[in-house]
Amino acid sequence: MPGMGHAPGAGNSTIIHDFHSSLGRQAALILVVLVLLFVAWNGLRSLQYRRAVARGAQFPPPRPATSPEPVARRVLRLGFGALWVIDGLLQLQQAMPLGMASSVLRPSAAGSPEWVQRLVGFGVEVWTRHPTTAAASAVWIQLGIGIFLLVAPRGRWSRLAGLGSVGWGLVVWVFGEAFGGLFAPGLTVLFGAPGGVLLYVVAGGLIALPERAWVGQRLGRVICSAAGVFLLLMAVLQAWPGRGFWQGGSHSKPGTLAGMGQDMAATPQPHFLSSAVASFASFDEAHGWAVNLFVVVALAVTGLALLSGRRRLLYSTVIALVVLGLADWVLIEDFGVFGGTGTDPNSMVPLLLLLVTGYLAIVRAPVAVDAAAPAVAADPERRWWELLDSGYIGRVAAAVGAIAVVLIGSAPMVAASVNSRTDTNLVEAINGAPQATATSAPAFQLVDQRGQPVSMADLRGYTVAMTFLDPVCTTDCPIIAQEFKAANQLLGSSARKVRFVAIAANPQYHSVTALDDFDRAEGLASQSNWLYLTGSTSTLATVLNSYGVAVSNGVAGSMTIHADMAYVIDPSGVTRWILDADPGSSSAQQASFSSLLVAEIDQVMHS
Amino acid sequence: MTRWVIAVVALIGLTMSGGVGAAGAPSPSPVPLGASTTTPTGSSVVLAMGHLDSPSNTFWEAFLEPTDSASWGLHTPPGVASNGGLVVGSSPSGPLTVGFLVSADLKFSPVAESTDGGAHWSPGELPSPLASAPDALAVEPTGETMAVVAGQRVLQTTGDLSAWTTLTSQRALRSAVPSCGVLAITAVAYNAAAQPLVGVSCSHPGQVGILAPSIGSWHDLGPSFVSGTASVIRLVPTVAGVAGLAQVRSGRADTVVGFWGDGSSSQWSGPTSFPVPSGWRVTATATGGGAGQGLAVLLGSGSSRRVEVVAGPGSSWIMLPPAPRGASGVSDVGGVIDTFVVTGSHLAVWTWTADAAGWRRAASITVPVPYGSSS
Repeated sequence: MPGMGHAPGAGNSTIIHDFHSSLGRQAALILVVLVLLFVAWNGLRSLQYRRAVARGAQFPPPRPATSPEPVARRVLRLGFGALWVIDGLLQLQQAMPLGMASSVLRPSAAGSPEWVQRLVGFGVEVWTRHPTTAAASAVWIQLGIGIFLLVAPRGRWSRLAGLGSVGWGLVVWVFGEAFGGLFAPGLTVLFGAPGGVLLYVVAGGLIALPERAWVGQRLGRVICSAAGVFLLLMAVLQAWPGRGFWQGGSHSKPGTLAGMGQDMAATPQPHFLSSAVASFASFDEAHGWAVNLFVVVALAVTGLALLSGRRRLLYSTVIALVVLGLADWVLIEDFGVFGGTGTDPNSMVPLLLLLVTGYLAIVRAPVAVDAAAPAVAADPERRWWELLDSGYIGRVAAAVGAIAVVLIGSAPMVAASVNSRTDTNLVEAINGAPQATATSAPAFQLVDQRGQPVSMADLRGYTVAMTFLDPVCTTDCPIIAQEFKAANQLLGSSARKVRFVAIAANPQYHSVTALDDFDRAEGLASQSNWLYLTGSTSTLATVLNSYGVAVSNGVAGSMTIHADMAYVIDPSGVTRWILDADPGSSSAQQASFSSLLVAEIDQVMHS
Repeated sequence: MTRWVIAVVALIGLTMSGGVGAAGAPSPSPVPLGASTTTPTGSSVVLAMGHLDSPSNTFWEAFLEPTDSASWGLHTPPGVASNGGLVVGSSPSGPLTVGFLVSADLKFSPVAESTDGGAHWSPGELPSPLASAPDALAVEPTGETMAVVAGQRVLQTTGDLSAWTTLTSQRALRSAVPSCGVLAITAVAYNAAAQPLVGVSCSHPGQVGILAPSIGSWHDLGPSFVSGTASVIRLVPTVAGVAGLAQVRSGRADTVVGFWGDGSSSQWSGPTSFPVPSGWRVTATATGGGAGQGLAVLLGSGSSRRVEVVAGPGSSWIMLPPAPRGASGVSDVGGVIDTFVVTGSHLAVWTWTADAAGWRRAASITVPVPYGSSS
């Protein structure tokens, strides 16, 4: 079984090509939408100009005076908008389609309880079955949200951008970060607790608040107090004995923090960065107790200072936290973006951004805020669109464009998550494309699992999907049988025009009983269009030879070795497609094979 | 302020639930599958070889030593991957049957039968997975065969290894023999009258469960000479009836008990037992030694090994000098004790005889272990 158990690597050229193609198609669609929006904006401006000239009015009309956006909110909005854009750009990395599930999603849930793993498993399933669609969608959704936040400073549009950040952030926090590892051992703020994207959710929630919430110091004090409580909790967790943080290392085994550092240093990245991370890991391994004491004290003191709410204390605390946080970001979190599947700059940058926002919301709090929409004097002769400020129109157009980016990105992902057919490129990436042919399928005269004679001539009038299976094989054959069974289900009512046929491929074990046991074990006994055929050892050898399938007996406990091939034969008995049926190592690859088999059956049935 | 307190308490609970977890309880160790059986026609031993830390590269092999030969030879039946394990069922003068335990995606157990000492094999299939126990298969000289399968059932066939019927089940035995409290079926054997015997684990103390059919039901023939709960780990036919081994747990102490009987009555010879030292466990077993009734047990602790042997009824267990480190099998062929040390695809046979000072390396066999064929 050549290639048995292989999986396409993250650098697989077929998948990368498809990823780039998906991105290209969506980019073209987005470009069309943006051009249309520009034309609409320009058209509206022209209309406004013509009407103004006709009425002898000033153009552009004077902009109504409005108060500026609160500084804290602007910092928060622009900061997190930029972070979403960075995250979207990181999703462009070519390892994302195949590397995301194996390198990010599964590891993030590895130490979590089973219910968390099951929940994350849903996201993993969608991503692994539709890797290029999911990866491309993630790019556009995150870019769209980021741009939306950057271009919509005020009013409902801006708050809607905040809600977008909350919604997608929650999706990523649950399915991508497994709740930020909240339910897994080893949780520490030094390494990303409670999940960077949860902070995007918090930021989105703050941006979605009515602007009156930013008036006065109350919101800033709530943010600082919440941050203080969070840091105190993290101090308790960091100080908790038995979690490996007090021991830098013992018996040549690194402690929790040193081990994390060593793992991060092993990530592909510029040498000077990895050596800095490795040096800190070594330092922690040698002085783990002192490092942890410093961390615990720093978290507790800054947490208490934030809770105190004293302005002078807040300033020095925020400065200290920025310095310590950046040190953590560089030396422990290792920027969070390296390795080919880094999805975001980890938690420390958004955490600091939230802290600074809280501080600014106290020290630079506005005393009053005007309504976002410009107040224009009533003029019954002017239509509503003539009253719109040109800058406002531009921002609305940009916001609509950003929403279009999000929708164009998310629509394929939504469609993929409800599509029962897995992308066929997964299996083609490793097994190659099906081979087209037009040769007569070799004849045979065998018996089925019920002992009834079946010949190739008996199958005329049906589209036949055929393969060779060893009834007592332990790996590929049961999986291929399940793939055929899944293909039968995917075909729906069309399956009645199809015969799924397997021919026994074991020189020893090919009795009707063995085939019947196999069928019952695999749930195929009740599938009416399933035929498992056998014959004498010599007859089977002749049939196998005629299809070019080599079978050899293994020794010393080896299963029978044979090629994994599948054939799609048209109703006139002509072989139209030959597929490499190696089932691969993942359920997604196996589902992909079923989809590919169905695609070829469909093609033969409709040709 | 109250809300903050509630939030803090909730968050502490949440973080502690994830951050400070506890590990689950370990599951009990299964009956060791590495086993040897000697009959008047020859001896067999099954051993795990290959990369034992990788299930798909662990291959179980069957070695046979005919009575008229002094060397072990590889006789694993062809056509099936043996990663799950092998069980050998043999009778004093009948066919030799090998059952394959399931592995990976195989959901039923192929079997193979040989009437010429492993030179040729005829295939058969059990409709369910064979149980992982050294005496999960029993063969009667006429070819009648019993098998313990998943779901705690015993299947039987009159000779066609593809046509099986249910003989009994743990549930049926539990209600038929309440004095035992049958927990699991662990072995099957035929007595001299071709009557089936079923060895079980009893939940009730003081009873070794050897169950035999009576009219429409089952009754317990087993010896009741022990305190603690007993589990039958070997049950084999001998020239004089049947012999068996049971592992008895009393508190935290384990004892291995050997017993012999005619297999058709409650009359048992022996018993003879030895304590399993703390930190040691039964690694492999052998039956049919000495004059056909000898028993041997290989104990392991880390890589240390020791062998306990008993010649038959009326004899006591004898502890042999420390066995070769890492041994994974033991056999007793006419009083000659062999231990088997597997290193990847290499098998070293170490022999101890009563007149020798210790263990000597008697043979070395290289097996073409089919690495990678099951992955």
